[in-house]
Amino acid sequence: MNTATPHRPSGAPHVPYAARVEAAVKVHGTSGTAVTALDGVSVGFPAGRFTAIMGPSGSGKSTLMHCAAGLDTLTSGSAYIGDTDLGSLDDRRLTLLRRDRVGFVFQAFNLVPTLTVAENITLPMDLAGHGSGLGRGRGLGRGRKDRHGRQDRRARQEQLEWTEALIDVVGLQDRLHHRPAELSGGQQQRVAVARAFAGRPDVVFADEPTGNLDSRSGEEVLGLLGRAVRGMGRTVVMATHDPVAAAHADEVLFLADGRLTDRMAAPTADKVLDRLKAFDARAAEGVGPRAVSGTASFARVAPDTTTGTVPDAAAGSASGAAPARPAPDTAPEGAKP
Amino acid sequence: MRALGASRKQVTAATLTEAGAVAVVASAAGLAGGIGVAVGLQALFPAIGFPFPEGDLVVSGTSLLLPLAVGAGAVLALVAFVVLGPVASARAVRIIGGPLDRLRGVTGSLARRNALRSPKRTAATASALMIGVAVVSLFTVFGASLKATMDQTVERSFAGDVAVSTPSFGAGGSGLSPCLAPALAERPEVATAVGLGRGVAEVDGEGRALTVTDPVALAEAFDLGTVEGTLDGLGDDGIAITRGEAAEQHLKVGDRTELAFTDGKKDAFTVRALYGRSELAGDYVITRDAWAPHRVQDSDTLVSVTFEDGVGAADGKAAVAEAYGDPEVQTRDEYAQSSAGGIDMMLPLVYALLALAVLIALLGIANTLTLAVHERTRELGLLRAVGQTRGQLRAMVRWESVLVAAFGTAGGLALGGFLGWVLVKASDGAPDTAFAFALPPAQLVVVTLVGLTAGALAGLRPARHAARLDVLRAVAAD
Repeated sequence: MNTATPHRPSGAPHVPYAARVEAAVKVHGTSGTAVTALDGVSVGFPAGRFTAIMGPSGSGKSTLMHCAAGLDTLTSGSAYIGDTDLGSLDDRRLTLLRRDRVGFVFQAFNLVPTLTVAENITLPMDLAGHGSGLGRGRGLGRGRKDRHGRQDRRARQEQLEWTEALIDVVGLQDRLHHRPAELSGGQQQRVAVARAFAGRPDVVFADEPTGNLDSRSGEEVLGLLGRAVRGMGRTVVMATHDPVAAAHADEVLFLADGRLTDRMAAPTADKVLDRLKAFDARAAEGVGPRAVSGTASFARVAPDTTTGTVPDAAAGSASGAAPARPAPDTAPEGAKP
Repeated sequence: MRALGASRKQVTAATLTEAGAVAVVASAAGLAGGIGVAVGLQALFPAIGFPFPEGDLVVSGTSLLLPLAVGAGAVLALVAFVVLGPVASARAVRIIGGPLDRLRGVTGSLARRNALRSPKRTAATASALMIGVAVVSLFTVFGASLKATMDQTVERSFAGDVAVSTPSFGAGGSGLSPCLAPALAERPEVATAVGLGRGVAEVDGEGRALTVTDPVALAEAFDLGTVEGTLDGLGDDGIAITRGEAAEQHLKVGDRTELAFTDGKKDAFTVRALYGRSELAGDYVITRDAWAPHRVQDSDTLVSVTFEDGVGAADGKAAVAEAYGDPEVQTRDEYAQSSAGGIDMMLPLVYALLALAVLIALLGIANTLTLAVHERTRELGLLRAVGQTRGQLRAMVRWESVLVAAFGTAGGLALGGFLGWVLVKASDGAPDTAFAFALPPAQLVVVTLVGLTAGALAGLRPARHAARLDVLRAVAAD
């Protein structure tokens, strides 16, 4: 049944992927209460592109993100950052890989409350540094002693310029020495974005980065992610259930019941919404009542329980993996509010 | 919000529990300290040759006054520490933790800031250790001061060349034969030899230690300061008293006072002399003749020997030791050392106290940290997500623990040192018994190291617990 893997990354040899998963299966819980969150997903996230993953709650998009980013491990299948097989890494190496090659923006609680904005931004690099202290490690210069060679110094100079440019872009110059508690939610997410890109990682994973923001702040954060990709050549993978957010991406992947069901290039909010409307309405109900500015919430989409398949034949390739299970709400994420 | 409310309730409950525990610990430490002081003093005073009443322990008003004054000072200091604790903890942790930034980088910085998060909690957590360390350092400081005082006393008032003392200390134990002093005096090397015995009697209703000796020889061997009246003719109804005691009892030369002896008899004595220095001679001196009717056992506790001119210390000592090898024969320095030696007996007790205090403090710190780790689950997960290794996370929690312990230890040392100083100054009442204040560096270093080690140990379990946390729990948004 699960033979449809239309977007097998290995089938596209010349596209360099910043991150990818192959035949990814993730089962939560043990045999009795086991829930399959990912059911054989193969997908690649091309470098220099902004990819959005869409799907209702419980579709497995967060699990896919976590497994692709090395925050969680797959039950079977493999995940790669660049050419590094995450399955081959122990906890320590996985941690170092996250620190040096992956950036994160979470939905909430992105910042360490005891650190200033500047220190939060340079945190991953400071964690990598040796004895240089907070906010100094290659980041925001506070006149640190120069104990390294010239090459290192040049690298640090570059890093400094990059970090400062980043801070300019996210517009936080006058907030650098504030604590997260002194910032608005939108400002906090912008700091998180700066932190995610500060170390110039291979890929930045953003898990519902606008989920807790009002639409204006959300728009700012999405604009930053888009600019990082198109202006600075970074790679972003974002999970969202907001069509407006997804519209900022270069490509949208649709996930349902732990399977990749569709993908859409050059998305717009309307196109994404149309596609979602076409999905099983019961799956859509699990998304919850959060209304997105100007657009209808999924909950208000007229229920269409008769088909349970993807009617868009043009999207075709994914139809074989259409959701067949009767109650997708019971998938792991469905338990969350 | 439900989650937040619940956790707040938990925090309150935990804080109350913690407060209760701290109170219990403090009381226990206080009680243990009090009993320890009593036991310590009882063991201490006879051991170092201070007169200690042989009869029943008499609790008098004046003897309570001093501890009361000291106690009041101590309570004030404690209150000050509790009130100022949070302020002090923030300041102290910032200072103590300063070098951590440089030494341990981001891990040290995070540890320091975590310790600074809730100064109140840090202060409360550290207070158990602080009190324990304070009691212990009070002991060691007071002990060291007694030792220094003893050295100074022997140095100042012991005019003899060698001292013959009983190997076993304590009251009523084996003593030296009263014949020893006269016998030694007949040796050609010896100029004078004076034996000092101990007696006890009630003077004006209060138990007092008496020195039973030959007053004339006593004056030759010990520096008694300025003598008023005459020591020659005490006879069997005369007594010599220190000027301080005489003033307290409103006695002057020629007055009569009644001594009640332990055999139940009372005799009237005439004050025939007042003298200035009492450190080794004691406050009351009577003759052997006066003591003889009331004695249980006639013995000396110390014979002070002065050599003839031209007799070297080693030769003289050898001569005395040859004649009477059994009792210890000590030169002046050796005598001072052994007099103070009793204080060292107190050390095991003090260290046992320290161990107990540290154990209790260790549990308190571990519990608070476990709670803190639980509260910071999401933050710790975030740190792990963005690249903090398990090792760095463990180190961060351990350093926080060490910082809390360092604050407790530093506070305890300061408090204990201060109380020790107060106690010494309070004991230094009489003008002729200068009480020296001394800090024992080695012991204080031991106390410090033990405190810091306790901190490192206390952090082990919470650190392991923190390192086991699931990264995803932080990341999964509500």
